[in-house]
Amino acid sequence: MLIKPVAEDFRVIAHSMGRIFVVVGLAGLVPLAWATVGREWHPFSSFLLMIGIFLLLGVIGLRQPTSDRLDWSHGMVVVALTWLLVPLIGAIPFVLSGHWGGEIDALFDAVSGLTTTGLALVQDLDHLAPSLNFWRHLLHFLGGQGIIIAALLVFAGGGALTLYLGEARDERILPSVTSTARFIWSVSMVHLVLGVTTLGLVAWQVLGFTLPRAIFHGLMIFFAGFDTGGFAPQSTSVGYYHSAIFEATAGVLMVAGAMSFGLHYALWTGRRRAVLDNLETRTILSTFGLTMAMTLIGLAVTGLYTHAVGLSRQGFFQVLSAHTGTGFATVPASELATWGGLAFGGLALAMALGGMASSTAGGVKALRIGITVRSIVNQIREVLLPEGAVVGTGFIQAGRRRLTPQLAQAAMTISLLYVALFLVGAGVGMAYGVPLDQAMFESVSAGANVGLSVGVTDPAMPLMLKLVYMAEMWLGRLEFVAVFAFLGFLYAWVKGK
Amino acid sequence: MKNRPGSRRPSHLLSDAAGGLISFVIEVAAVLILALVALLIGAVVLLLV
Repeated sequence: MLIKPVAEDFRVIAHSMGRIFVVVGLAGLVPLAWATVGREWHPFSSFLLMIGIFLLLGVIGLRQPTSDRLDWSHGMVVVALTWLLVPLIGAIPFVLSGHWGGEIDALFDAVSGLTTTGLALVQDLDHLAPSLNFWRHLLHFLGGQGIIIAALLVFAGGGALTLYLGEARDERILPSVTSTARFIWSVSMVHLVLGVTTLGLVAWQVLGFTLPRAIFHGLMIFFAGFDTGGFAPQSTSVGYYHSAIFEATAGVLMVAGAMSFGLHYALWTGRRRAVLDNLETRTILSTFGLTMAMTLIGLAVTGLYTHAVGLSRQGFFQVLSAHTGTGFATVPASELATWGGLAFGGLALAMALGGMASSTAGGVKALRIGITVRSIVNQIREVLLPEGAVVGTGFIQAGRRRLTPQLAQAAMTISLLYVALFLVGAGVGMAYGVPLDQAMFESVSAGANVGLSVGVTDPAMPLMLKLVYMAEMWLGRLEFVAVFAFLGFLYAWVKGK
Repeated sequence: MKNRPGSRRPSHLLSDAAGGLISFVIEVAAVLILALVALLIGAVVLLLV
């Protein structure tokens, strides 16, 4: 029998939501300051409205009398609601700017930003006010680093572990969730300083940007690269810079973003051997090599690139962008659509596989792929080896672990859910007349939170397709569990006793 | 007590920054190696196709 949620359940959820709204409202002060300095008074007023709503809802939530004891279902509902309501309010400056076709288009970009996807419906991006551009990229940073993690640092309170797990992070690096959250922010801050400095220097000294413009572009590309988001300040994405050094620097941030924070911890503490022995490292290196070979062979067959440097540069960057779940591109969507065949398959596969677990990347994740492959290999070896022979079931992932049937089943279940998600999105695309390969590419890009596009994502696309892609981004980012728990909570509210 | 990245003690900030810098250099090296591998694959593929 389903138990109907009581008033206390709603108060606990509202209290936690209040904390998160306050944190996001305070984060909104940064673009507000940017608009003030730049004398962008129209965006300024829209940011003021957005911050006011966040803080008002935050204070209302925090005023709810509660025992502050989040259980598992409360935590999951809070996480699922956060990823719905923050974009809803965060889209206000977009709606009021006139750069989006309507409320749904603005919401689409806010969802895409927060889920670190990078698909965009913004129009005339090259003339968007810098403060609004900053807010788009800050959404990547908030979503990638985890609003929940930020809230945990500000209000270390009850239910921290549930919220942390709900945000699709299943690896506690340090003994407490708060110290883990602090480490995650330390990694981000170090990369922020090094990444923005390097990108800014390249833009300033090599590309000839003015210093303020170089810093602005460095900051935007850092937010979108390190958080594997994919928004860019210009409509031509990273192709705008026409610079191999800039692409390589962005690539470093993309790789850092797709690495699990457990691996960052191993690198920081000098345990480099642990990085190489790690199941995820080995899996992602194998799948990266495979998808890159597929893409380069496919591209060579099409004859689009006849020189090794051009072929490798374009193939490498696009595969790196796809596999890390970033979504930066150095070729326009119209050109990407002509890649076709094996190159298309290689990119789509790289997007679907995604980065590492407990990173800012999306997709099925290397850990699940590694566990699934290892499990299949073990089953084959059990059949082939003499009866009674013992098949090793150990693997290294944050220490030596045993590959249990439960672990393999969990990995396969989530992997299958991702495949189903990609197929549903592709099916809806095809229903609106999008060719199979393009419908599948775009659906994988949305569901795996990547952001590469072959041109299907466009302000003129059908409303239903926009809604389906938004749902894919939401489900893919939260890896299904929090969303299912939220739907279960709603069902219990309606049908429970 | 052993230093742990993420600790807020001032003496740990330096070791945090050093760890982060080394980590960043390794990431740069990894991307360069991957790019070289891509170049090698690209050259071989163009020769064969």
